[in-house]
Amino acid sequence: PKTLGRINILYVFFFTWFGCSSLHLLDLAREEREREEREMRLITHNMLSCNIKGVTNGFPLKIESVKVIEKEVDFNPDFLRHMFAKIEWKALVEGARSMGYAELPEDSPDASVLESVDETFLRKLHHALLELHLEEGALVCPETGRKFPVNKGIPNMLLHEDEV
Amino acid sequence: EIQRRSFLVLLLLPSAAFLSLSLSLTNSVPVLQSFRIGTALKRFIMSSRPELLAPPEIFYDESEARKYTSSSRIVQIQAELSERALELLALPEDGVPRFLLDIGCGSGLSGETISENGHQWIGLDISASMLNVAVEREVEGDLLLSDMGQGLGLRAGVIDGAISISAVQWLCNADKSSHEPRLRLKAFFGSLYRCLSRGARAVFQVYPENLAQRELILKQALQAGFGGGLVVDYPHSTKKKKEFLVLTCGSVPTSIEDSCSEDDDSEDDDSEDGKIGVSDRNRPRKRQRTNEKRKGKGKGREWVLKKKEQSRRKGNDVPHDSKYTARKRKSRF
Repeated sequence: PKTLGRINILYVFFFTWFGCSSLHLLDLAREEREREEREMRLITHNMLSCNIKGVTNGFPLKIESVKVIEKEVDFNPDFLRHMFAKIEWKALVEGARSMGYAELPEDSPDASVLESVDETFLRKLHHALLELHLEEGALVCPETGRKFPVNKGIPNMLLHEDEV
Repeated sequence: EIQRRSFLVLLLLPSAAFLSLSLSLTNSVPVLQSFRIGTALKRFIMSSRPELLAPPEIFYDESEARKYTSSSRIVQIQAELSERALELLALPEDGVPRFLLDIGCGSGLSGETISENGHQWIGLDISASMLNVAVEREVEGDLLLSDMGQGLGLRAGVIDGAISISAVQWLCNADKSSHEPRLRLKAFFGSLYRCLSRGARAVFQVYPENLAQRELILKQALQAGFGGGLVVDYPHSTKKKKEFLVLTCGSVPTSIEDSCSEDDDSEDDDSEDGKIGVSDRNRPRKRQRTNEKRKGKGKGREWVLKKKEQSRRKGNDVPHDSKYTARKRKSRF
């Protein structure tokens, strides 16, 4: 009877361990699937600057991309025309390149290309601005080198006490 | 037989422990969080003012964030407040989506209203748990984990409008020893003024604790260069009363009255000329002389009509007045 008992224990332990770990894995898998989310697009990056005390040239933040995903967004030319005046073109091109998209022209085109019937430029702008998402990575201040990590698409811009 | 039974019991204990350990690791069982009875008791005592309990990044932890977002009452109130704030923002109705800022976006409840109105937005919040809930809900705006009291860190003139629902009052409390609410408000309003484009507005729905807080917020806003004032919805009702701080940036001279809808009962204390006019709602009222004869005979039609009017002003659903109002019923009623 004693030896039979020990083997029983082993079996049941193995079974529960297996069950628990599979539950755990399923849960993790669910989290992985759910993590295919959005956030941190170039439109936001173009507006962000480093806020640390004493920094004069905190824009633009350099992008270190570890994971970039592309998500489709509805194309709205009016919005793009409205935003075009506010965008820092160089920062946009640099940022797009760090995220793996090099289709944008180097120099800022003049406004007439926005009104043209040909939508290729607007489509490229739309893709770069709204459809590239930085999921994991970091934003680096150009002056101090301070890294703002990006997790799940959310950049952590909280400053430490001495940086305010 | 007894040996086998005791073995089974011994097996069940560690497997149960293993299960609970793995589940707690995945944080998927909120039941385990309720073991913290201490905070629950505190919350029961001071449930109306969360900013007196803990700093926002600690108060809005994971369980609180889930509770907040799953409460249908809160979802509905936030949606209403966001709609009203967007209305007060008075964005030009030309169908062009605008680029807005949602300060203290939390789990994205107000941001969803912005997306429904077709605009793009950036959301800021200091609580990582709330932002995680927002990510789960797949909100359409970009989210930033940042402290609004440290300055917004946005370039000049890029934002077309800013809203904030139930968030700015958190700035008035010093959550760390290095915090000075005045300086934090100054940094916030200063950076906000810079990043708003000309003619843009900022609408904040706030829950200030007292007159001193209202004055503090308004003063810092005016010092930063904003013009504007306070819009109060349903000022006569303590439950429904909501305060919106509407700040204008630049030289577009539209008055605030234009943006009020007809069925809203709102008044505003305008401070465009630089002075702050803040009046306390509890004005000492003159003692009404009680009519001795009235008291004896009971409450007549006039009294009933007066009470119905008061209730209407509070915003309640009241049947309309007719010739049957307060008519004398048969004695058996």
